[in-house]
Amino acid sequence: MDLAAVMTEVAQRLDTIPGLRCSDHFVSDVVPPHAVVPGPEEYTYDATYGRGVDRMTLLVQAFAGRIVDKATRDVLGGYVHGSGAASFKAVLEAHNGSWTAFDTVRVVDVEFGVSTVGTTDYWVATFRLDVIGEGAP
Amino acid sequence: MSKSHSKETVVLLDDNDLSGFLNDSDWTRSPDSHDVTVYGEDNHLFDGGLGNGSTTLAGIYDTSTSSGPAAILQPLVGTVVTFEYRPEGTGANKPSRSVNVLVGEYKETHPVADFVMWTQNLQHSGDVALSTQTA
Repeated sequence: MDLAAVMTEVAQRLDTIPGLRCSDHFVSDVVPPHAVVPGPEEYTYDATYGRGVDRMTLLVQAFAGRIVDKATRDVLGGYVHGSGAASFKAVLEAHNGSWTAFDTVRVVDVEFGVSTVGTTDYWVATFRLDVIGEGAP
Repeated sequence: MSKSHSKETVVLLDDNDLSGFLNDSDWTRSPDSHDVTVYGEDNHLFDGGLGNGSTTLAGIYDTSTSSGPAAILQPLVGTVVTFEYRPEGTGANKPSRSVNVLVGEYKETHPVADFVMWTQNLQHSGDVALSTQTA
């Protein structure tokens, strides 16, 4: 798979969520609500013989807002929800069958944490995506 | 003497290259065994009989309705077709094994937390031809 193309296409798909800014690479500054596709956690070659299929775990980080703001909870809830217009899982998986840079994606799980950018503590949800696609592009 | 990685394996069934859909396979040969023990022996004696063999293919399902494993394999179930197995991949001086096979059980599995998978059982039929690939 072309890693850059996969990251860009995932970010473009998330960009359809109303009010969400999206970046297909690491950024030095965020303006929440902001989704960043920083890259894969791991990339596994040779899921089949003959370079047929590769598989990767792709990360997507959602900077929902300042951790001390109650509104951040509501925004993050929409992204984490299993369905709905703001659901990362629903929005990404509904596009299965239409991706061009890879075959299919499943949003496996999400972890939560705090990330400090500058002097601001943001509540961040890190989604892990199971992506499978052609081994030899 | 050196090793060979399985990712290089090439599998051709009825002239269809299934390699890109496979993540596991085996080549099994087993002869008939005849007990020829006679009086006076302390242990069993055996002699070989007819040859036999099988292959099981396993892999990841593909949605293609023309070139995916489901599209290729399901119409072949119950028929005898050619089978070529290249355990070290394709290349000059690499081994090749050819045999006719009865295409047996085709099975799909749908685990909730993983991709759709498939397996195909093949029964070797007749003589096995061992050869060395040319360039």
